[in-house]
Amino acid sequence: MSAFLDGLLTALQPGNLAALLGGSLLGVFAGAMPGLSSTVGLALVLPLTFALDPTPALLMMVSIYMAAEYGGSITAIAIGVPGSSPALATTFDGYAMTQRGEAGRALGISLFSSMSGGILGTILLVLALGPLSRAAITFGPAEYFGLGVFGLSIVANLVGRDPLKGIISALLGLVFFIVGLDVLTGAPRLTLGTNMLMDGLGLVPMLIGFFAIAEALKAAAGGRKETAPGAGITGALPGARELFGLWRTILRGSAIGGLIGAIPGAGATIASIVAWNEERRVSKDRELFGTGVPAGIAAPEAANNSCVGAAMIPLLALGIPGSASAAVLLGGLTVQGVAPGPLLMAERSELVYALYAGFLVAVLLMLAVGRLGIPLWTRVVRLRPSILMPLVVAISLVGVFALRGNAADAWVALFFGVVGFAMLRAGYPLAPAVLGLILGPMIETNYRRALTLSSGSHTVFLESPIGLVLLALAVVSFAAPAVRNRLVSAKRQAKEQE
Amino acid sequence: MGSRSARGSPPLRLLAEAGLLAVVGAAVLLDSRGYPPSLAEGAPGPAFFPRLLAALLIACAAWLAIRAWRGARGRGSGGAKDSGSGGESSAGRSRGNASSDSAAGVRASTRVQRFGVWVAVAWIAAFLLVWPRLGTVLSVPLLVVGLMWLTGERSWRTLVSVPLAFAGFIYLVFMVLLGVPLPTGF
Repeated sequence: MSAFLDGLLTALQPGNLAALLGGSLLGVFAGAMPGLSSTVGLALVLPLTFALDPTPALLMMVSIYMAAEYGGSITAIAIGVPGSSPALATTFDGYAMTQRGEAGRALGISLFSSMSGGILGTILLVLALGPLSRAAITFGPAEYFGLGVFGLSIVANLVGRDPLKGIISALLGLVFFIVGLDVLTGAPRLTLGTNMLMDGLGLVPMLIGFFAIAEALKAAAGGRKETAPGAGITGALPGARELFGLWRTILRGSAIGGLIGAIPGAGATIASIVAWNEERRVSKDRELFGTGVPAGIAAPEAANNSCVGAAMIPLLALGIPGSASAAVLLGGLTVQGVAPGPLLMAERSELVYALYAGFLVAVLLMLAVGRLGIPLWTRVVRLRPSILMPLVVAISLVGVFALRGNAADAWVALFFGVVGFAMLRAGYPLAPAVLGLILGPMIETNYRRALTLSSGSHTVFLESPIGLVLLALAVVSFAAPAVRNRLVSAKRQAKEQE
Repeated sequence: MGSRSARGSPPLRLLAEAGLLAVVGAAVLLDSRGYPPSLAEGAPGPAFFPRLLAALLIACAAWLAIRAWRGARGRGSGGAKDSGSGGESSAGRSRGNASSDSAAGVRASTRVQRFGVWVAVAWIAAFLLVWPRLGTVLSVPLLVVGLMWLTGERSWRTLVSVPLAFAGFIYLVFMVLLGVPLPTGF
């Protein structure tokens, strides 16, 4: 408890509080702007964090992540366009309430549910991180190899409608990781004979290229629509009685978000849709869902904010980012020289406790920023893409240069921006490539280390029960979406034949 | 999404993607020939992983090429099959996700807009080339104004005020507050 109080005192220091507040403002903005998202917001701020100490830098990033999940609901409710994909389910009932002139009530419910979900997700993080880290501390190369393969298997959940293109994207990410010096032998690989590529392509320029520059190019190609004027913010905010009356819905939504968020690859979008659907299933008024029911806003909003804390569990305990936003957060940890994994709790406990407390403070700041800024945010989100996107590109390039004072990084970011845009245009999802780049070193290095220790015998992987379980989980995780899709398809065909 | 869904890429485009992928795979394979052997007896060396990846990339390229061929055959026969889908069911095609939706958004662009993207890329590349010479305060507004014009901004007031204000922001935040040595030019 005293460690948590120390963490709270750290989070409340003026510099850290300012970072949290800045993160909340930027997060709500990034979440609310259609075309931006928590991932883009985090990618944009990533190069700026190098000038900060690890604690304020990471607090700012978690604050952005948390606030962006709420921010998405502002446009979802006000104009019927989800600011980011996790707010998709919120549009079903949120926009219907706006059309009835109850936007203020809908936004109030969204804000309260997001806050509650954020707190419950943080509690889950606090409860799960220690035990998982302690379990992972005994891992050797065989277990880490299994973990890496399991992490990569979540690609199956990120591939979208075409598994082949998702797999190709992951393979390209693994190829990008090869560029540079081999960790075990120091041999240059795919460096094209230049010294510039000896250090590798770099995670941060890739993240900025993929998630900021590619998005801006997509907007330039007409992929982002202007936001239509909506009904505006009218109607009174909800009363305390109505908000607390939704406690069962919020608990259910948070539990769903916590469970799904902790599974790498599942993510807040799935969690919020599942939560909305589950709430409709258990409701007595299920036929009213989609017509402007408060529970239809509370469930998905609690779920997507609960996901934030839960998504930090595999990231901090195992070093596995479960979503694109978590991958950018991993980039932030890398910039600060903080290595996530089982030793983080033992070696940087003060930082971990500051993060726990920071999450809670971020939730409260999100409440304040969200409540006070409602009229402002709905005006800001109508900023034209022709103004916003050039600024995104410019700040990305300046930021990535500033990171190491290296012009080559800006070129690498542009390269990944173009590659990312081309991939998006051809229907290749970007998240698997990022996952490949992040998990490639874990998989290759530990595979070779394990075989070096066993003099080339593959039985080393069979002798480790944890490694075996992880590899089995990887097979299940990889196959599950395909099996599920086949079952759904077969069911649908059977229905059509009937 | 129609016939130009992620699975429903036209056969020629799929073939081009397959070719590009095969070239990447072959390049990785060729490069890996020069890597040193393993440090330990029986353990894989630095070439193992790249070769495995190259083989997988080439296999995926072959799969894409087969899909393109099946798509072209489907088109040739004039059937109701979706191009390039390789005979996938409509149920399979109806599965949606955010990334595919964004891909559809990109594909919805007109030829002019698509051309504009590559002009924007060229403009950004030109900025990166002149940035060290012109300096941040001069080149950043040029980058922003060009991109604003290319993305459809036509209000001259906005075209002047936003880039100038942004340059001021970059100067204050990065160069004054954070003390980052951004290029000053000349």
